[in-house]
Amino acid sequence: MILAEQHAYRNRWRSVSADAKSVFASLAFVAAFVAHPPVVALALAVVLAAVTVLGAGVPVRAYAKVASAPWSFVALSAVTLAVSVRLGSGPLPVSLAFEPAQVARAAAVVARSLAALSAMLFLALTTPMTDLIALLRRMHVPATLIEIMTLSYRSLSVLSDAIHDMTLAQSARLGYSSFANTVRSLGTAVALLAVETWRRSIVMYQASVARAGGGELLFLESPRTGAARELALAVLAGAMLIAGVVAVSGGVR
Amino acid sequence: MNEAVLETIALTYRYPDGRVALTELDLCIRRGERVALLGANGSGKTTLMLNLLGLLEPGSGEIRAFGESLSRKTADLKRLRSRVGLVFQNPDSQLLSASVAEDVSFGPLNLGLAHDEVRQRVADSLAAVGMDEYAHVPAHALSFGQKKRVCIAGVLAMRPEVLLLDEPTAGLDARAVEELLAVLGDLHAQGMTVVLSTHDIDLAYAWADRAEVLKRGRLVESCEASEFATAFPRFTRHGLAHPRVAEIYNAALGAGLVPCADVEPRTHAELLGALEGEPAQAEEAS
Repeated sequence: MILAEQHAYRNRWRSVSADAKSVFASLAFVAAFVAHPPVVALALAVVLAAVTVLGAGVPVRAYAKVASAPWSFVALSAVTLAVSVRLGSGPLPVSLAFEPAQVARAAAVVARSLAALSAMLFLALTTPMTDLIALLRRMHVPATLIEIMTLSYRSLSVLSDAIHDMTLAQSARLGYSSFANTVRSLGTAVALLAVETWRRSIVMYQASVARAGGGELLFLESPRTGAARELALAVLAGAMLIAGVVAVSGGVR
Repeated sequence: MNEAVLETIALTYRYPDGRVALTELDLCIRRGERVALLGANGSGKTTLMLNLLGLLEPGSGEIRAFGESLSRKTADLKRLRSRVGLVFQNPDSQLLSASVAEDVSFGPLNLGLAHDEVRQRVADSLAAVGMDEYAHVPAHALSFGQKKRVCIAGVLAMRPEVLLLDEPTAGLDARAVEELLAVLGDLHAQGMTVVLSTHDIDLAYAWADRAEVLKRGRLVESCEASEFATAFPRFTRHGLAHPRVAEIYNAALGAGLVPCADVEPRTHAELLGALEGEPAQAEEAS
C-alpha cells in the first residue's frame, strides 16, 4: 500500500467523519490564502502539520516522507521564481540575479503553497480515499467523475501489484542489471502492462455485467456517522484558524 | 428429480478468432444440486459459465434457464443474472470498488432495490461469508482468500438461486479452501444450487453430487455421486488424476486393512473413519 494510504487507514482520526475532516481541511485552505505575510503562512503550515502529527498521530517520519515530494517541488519553484537570468549585463554573457521584489514574491508564494499543502496533507493522511469518494458521492458530484475515481482508485492497487510482480520477475532474471537492460525491461513491462490493463478491463466489464450492471456504476452511499458534533467542532476549529490568521496578519503588517 | 434450472442443448461456441471453445454441449443442472465441472486448463469451463449467464453469445445450440429459452433482451438478461450468480476466478477482476461494503452493494443496487434493503443485504451477505468485520477495510488490504469471499458476498447480496463459481479454490491455501467449502455447505443447506469448476479431483470427489468432465470443449463424462467410485478412475484418460481418497481406500481394501463397505469413503475424514473401523455415511460429504 502507498505510504499516505497506510496512515489514512491507521491514524487516530480514522473514524472521525470524512465530512468533518474535509470541512476543516477546506477552512484551513482558506486560511492559507488569507495569511498574508509569508511568516504567518509558514506558521499556519507548521500548525497544520502539528495537528496532523500530534492530533491524528501520524508519525513525523512518515509525514516528512510523504511531504518530501511536494516540498521539493515547491523548493524547485521557489528557485525559479526568485532567480532571474540575465543575458549580457555582467562580466559573463549569462548571469543569475536575485531581485528583492522577486525574492519577496517567491517567499509569499512558497509560504502560501506550504500552508495549502499542509491543509491537503492533513486530509490525505487522515482520510482514506474510499471515505473521500463516498463523501463526494453524498455531495452529488457528477456520477461519471465518481465512477472514474472509484475505478481508477481500485485499478491503481491492482495494476501497481501487476507492475510490481512484473518488474520483480524481470529483476530476478537480471532485467535491470545494466542501463541497456533497464531500458529494455522497462519498455517490455510498460507494453505488457498496457495489454494486461486492456485484458483486465474486458473481464472487469464482464464481471460488472454479470452482476446486472453494465450501465451506471451504482454503489451504496455510506451513512454519515456522528457527523453533527464532529462537524461543529471542525467548523469551529477551522473558523478559529481563519480568525487567528486574520488577527496575526493584521498585527504583523 | 428436481426441475432443471440451467440447461444447454447442443451448445457450440467459437472464440472471436474462430477457434472452437465448446462443441455440441448438453448439460443439465437441477435445483439444489452440487455440480463439479471438471476439466484441465483450457477445456472450456470458464467459457461455459460465461455462456450460461448470457455474457457470451453462443454460435449455435440453445441455453435454457428456469425452463425458458435464454432471451437476449436486456431486461431478461438482467433477471437471469439476478437469479444466477457468477463468482469469477480472479477476485481482482470482480471487485469494482476499493470499499468492501460499496462493492457488495453494487449488484443489489443494479436490481433497483431500496437503499435500506441493500444495506441489510450487504450486512447479511458479508456475515454469510464471515467477512462482516471487513466491511470498511479497503479491498487491497485483504488476502486473496478474503477477496474471494467478498466476491461471493457481492453475488449473494443479489440472492441468486444458482451460484456458479469459476475455479473457486485456485490460489487458496488449505484453510481458506476449508472456509470456502463451509460457506458453500451452508448455502447448499439453504437450498442453493451450486456449480463450481475445478481441476481439483479430490475436491470434486468429496464435495459434489454430480461430476461433469469437460475436455477440449466437449462434455465427455457425467456421473452421479453414487457412481463416483467406479467412474472417477476412468477420468484419468481425460488428463485428470485419480482421487487420493479412492486410491488409498482401494489399496487398503486390497491389503485387507478395511472391510468392503456399501458406501465408499469420499472424504479424507471418512477414509480415516473406515481405516479405524467406522462405516462411512452416505450423505456426509463436506
